[in-house]
Amino acid sequence: MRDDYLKFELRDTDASMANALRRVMIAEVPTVAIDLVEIEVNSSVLNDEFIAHRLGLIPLTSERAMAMRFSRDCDACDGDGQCEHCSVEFHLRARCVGDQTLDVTSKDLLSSDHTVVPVDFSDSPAGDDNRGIIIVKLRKGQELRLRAIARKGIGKDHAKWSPAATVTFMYEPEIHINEDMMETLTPEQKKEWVESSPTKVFDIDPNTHQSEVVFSVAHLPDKTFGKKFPRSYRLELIVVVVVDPEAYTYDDEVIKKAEAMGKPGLVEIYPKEDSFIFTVESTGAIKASQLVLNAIEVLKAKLDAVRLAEDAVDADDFGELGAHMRGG
Amino acid sequence: MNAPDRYERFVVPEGVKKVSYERDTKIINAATFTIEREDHTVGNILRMQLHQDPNVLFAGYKLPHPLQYKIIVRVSFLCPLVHAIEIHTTSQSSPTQAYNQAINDLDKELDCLKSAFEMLVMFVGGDGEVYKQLLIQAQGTMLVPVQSWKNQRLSVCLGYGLWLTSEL
Repeated sequence: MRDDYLKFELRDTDASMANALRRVMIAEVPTVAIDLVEIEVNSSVLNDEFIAHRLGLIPLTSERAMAMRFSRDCDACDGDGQCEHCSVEFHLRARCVGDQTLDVTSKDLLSSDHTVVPVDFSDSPAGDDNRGIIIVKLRKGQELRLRAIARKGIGKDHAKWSPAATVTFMYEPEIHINEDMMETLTPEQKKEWVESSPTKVFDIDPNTHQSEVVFSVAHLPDKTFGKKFPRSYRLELIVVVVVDPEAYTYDDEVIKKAEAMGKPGLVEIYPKEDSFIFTVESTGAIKASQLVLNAIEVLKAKLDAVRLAEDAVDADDFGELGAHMRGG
Repeated sequence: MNAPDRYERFVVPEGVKKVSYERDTKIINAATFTIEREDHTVGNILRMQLHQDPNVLFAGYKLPHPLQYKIIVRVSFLCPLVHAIEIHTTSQSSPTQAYNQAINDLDKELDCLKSAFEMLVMFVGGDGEVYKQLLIQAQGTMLVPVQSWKNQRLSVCLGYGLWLTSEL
């Protein structure tokens, strides 16, 4: 679990609920994104529309988005999106004076509200030289001056409002190794089989790895087991274990390998249909954990909205016929 | 430009009811619900929840056309004539009640999921020490730590048979 990444398991529910959550996270959790751009000066190589589009795609911190209003149903303003309840204003002024190319980035966007700012990836492990998201590059003498209004929206309207980079879920696999059959394999075959999986699902148990047990019966009289029984022998114990069932991608490689080795049924894998492994990656607009909570809230609100009004339920008496049929 | 506004996909127009309901004229205890501006997200969970109801004989939904932003949910009840004994117990039941019951149940499930998830984030999000302290306190309650072969995981259960597990 990180701010922008989360993996969890959801059990004892069905695929419809898991999918509803996924769909809501992608398309219906609100965020704030730049929606209206007024360009004052643009002498850059990119045209106005292109820049406006790039601005729209910059993720803005949207913790406040759930409490904000959609500008279309904001009654404090007349829909021009300039009130504190439904919009945030940004200014950008950049002009290249030096001989070097100037990168205009999301860090040059000045917000009127400190809670809604372009996301900062400076503490993320990937970025060492942190300059924000590049909007446009300016040459000497070129200038960009604009005013932008960010509004609340949802991913269904435009993907720029989607807080999720990826949301996936998969059935949790249930893996059964046929221990008896596994013991019929040589240690080399076991290793070969373990390595046949493209992801590291199985491994040789490190506690037993390469351990050679010398089992001695030398002290026993010959008649205990008969002459043919070896006096001492080495027992190689190599146990194959499942280390990470979640890494299994339902690729069937290990099953095919087992069949190729002439051991069909060595392993049985089937999906648990009521258990899901979720992976949530956020764009940075909302923390991944908050994204899941918001999705639950949004889904609850949606269900509330589709509830039938009380009077509709009372009015439903199915007429005389219905009453008769029900034995009334 | 005659392109329709993008928000028409999810904003119910004025004068249109979000949910309308029509009784079937030929089948007893069957009804059709038309939900405006909703899609598979709500349609599918409603259908599955209705299937959980033992009194519901049939529940299905369809999205008639990708450009018609509505779903149609059909619910049919067990015919009371066939299940004469059940008449009294289910006499209060009707497709509308089943429909609302399904929504209430889903609501409860989501509430439970939410509190379980909040708890999970609280435990996993904090530093290790806080987590260990809480683990000791949580013994015997709904929190069940799971020690897996490789990584430590935390499972949270909060009634309703809902479970959440996360890597630490």
